[in-house]
Amino acid sequence: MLRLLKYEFRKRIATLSVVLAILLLTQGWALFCLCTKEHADQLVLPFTFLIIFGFLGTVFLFFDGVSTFSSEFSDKKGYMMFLTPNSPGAIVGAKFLYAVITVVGGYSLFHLFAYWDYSLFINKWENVKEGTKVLEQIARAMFGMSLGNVTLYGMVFGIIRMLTLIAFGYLAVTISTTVLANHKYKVFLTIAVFVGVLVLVGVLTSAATNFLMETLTDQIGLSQSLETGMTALPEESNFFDILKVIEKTKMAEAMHVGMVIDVGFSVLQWAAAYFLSVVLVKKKVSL
Amino acid sequence: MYYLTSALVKCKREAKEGEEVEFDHTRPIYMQVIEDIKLRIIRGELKVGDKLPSTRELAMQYQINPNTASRIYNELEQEGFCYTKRGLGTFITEDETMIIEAKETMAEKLIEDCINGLKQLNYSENEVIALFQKKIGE
Amino acid sequence: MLKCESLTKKYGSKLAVHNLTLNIEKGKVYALLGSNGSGKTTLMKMIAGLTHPTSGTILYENQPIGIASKKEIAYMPTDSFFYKYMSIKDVGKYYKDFFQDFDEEKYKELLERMELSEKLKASSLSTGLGAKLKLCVTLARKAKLYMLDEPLNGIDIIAREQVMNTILEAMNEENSFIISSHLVDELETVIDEAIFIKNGVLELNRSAEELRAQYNNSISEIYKMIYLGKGEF
Repeated sequence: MLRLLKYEFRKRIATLSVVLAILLLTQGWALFCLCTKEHADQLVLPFTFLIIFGFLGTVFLFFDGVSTFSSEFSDKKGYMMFLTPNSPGAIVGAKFLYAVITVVGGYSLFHLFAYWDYSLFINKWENVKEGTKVLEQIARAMFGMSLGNVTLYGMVFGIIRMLTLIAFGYLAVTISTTVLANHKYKVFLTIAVFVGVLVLVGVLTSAATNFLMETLTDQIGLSQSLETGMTALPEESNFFDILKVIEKTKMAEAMHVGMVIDVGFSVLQWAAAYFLSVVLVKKKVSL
Repeated sequence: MYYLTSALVKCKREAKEGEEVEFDHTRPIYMQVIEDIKLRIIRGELKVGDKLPSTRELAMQYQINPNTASRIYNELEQEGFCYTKRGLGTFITEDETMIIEAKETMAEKLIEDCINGLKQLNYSENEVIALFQKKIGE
Repeated sequence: MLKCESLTKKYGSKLAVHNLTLNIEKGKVYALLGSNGSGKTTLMKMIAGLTHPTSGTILYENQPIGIASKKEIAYMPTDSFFYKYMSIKDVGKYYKDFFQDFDEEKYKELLERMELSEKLKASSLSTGLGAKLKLCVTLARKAKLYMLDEPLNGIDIIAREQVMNTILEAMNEENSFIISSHLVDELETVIDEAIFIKNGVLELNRSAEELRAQYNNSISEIYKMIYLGKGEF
């Protein structure tokens, strides 16, 4: 498995290096501007680039993951893997691991840079620092944690979403190259299956999550405490007063429960996509 | 006519001894190698009592597969043309009469083929004899 | 050592291999003969575990095709299949990483004989050199069953003898070969058995010497007769 993983990276090393180089250059530019420029306005351009990069980076991670998987089935290059005495589980597993490593690596690196820039930014301009205090308060009220931790959680959820998307992408590719291998409308059906599975799984998980959340929040007593808290508020109270009410309720606890449920379902989805892919490859591989 | 040409091919093969053998693919390969080995023994290229190449070497020499090569030695052994010494290899028989016999059968076969070919061209026996005399006289 | 029983492979509605039953024995050399698209490659791919049969079974040493069979079967596809980044040296490293029976020294020796430099990129080789590389890396394995799909494709007449000799040298009583080709002449002296496939159906599977003795004809002539539908076999 590790050997297979090694070759996953060896194959893509050129592309990955280029993407990494672009990220490093953009970050270098941002750092340079942060240290030398006097006006915050002058940071707009490098920061915009960094944000665009972040967006394109996620798109890249998705397509890189799915295309490296599908190339293994769609042309002769697949012989390299399937001729070797490796189980379908290991071959598909190496692909999943590759996706996990690139997505986690990419997201972490990007967020690390973003955090670095952000701390430099708020330390340099005191007035910005004031503004962040509001955000801090909201974070504490809603999630019961610091703004930094909220961002960290956001990153983790981004990673989880992306991996779910890639896992279903893999599954769709496997279906199209095994069961549908010789079908006339292969491409169309594959996309239909991909979207169909995503929607179906989305509906099912959200229904299940809602059900779980409702029962759990009832147990915590969230809605009651929120209602009593809100009605007790004086009429001329401001935004910060509302936040204080929320902080007193069990909103944060409910959020944490929601996160745990979400992670649990995602892991289930990955496992399902993996096992289904392995079974299909084992029973139906057709290169 | 066919036999004549095949005899000619055979002569050609003898001419470029040591080089690879051109097989006639319409006949079993092992038989042709056996004929070639016998021929070389008769002509004295391979001496009585000599060690023959290993099956592997034989296969490479004639560019045939090793199974065919071992079959060739089996057949030669059965005919009494060679014998195997355990762990030492295959050797040509020391029995000279066998070789003379083989030479005679081979000559007979050549003549027979030749005469049969000529008969198919409607040559009479006397004409055949005349043809031979003329050819040898040249 | 290898048993195929009522093998059928469909690609969509197209029948590539139909109800094929075949037995491969240890120590023998088989020619898999048939025109392009007759199902030779499909059959080999199924044995190599690259494609699943639609129905029927393949047993290698009484086990279904899988990790164990892939360890002992060396398949050489017709197409070039190495990764783009690979140099000839990288190809060797890859095989060494994944096949326990791969002999690095043997690989180097074969490359030298075929005059292939380890530094060359595998993907930029000419057809002839690419074919030689595939052969080197396949024969450098000490496999039990070698399946060579069109080993002479793209190899010029002068190099053919060298290639055939290299294949011959690898043969011994412990291994078997299945060699596919539409150049029947080249295989004539090398094979024990001839397997004829036509439109995915096994037409004939017999000893080459027996066939020559019985029909007074070369395998390549018999091949032509089968494909032109002349005579009973």
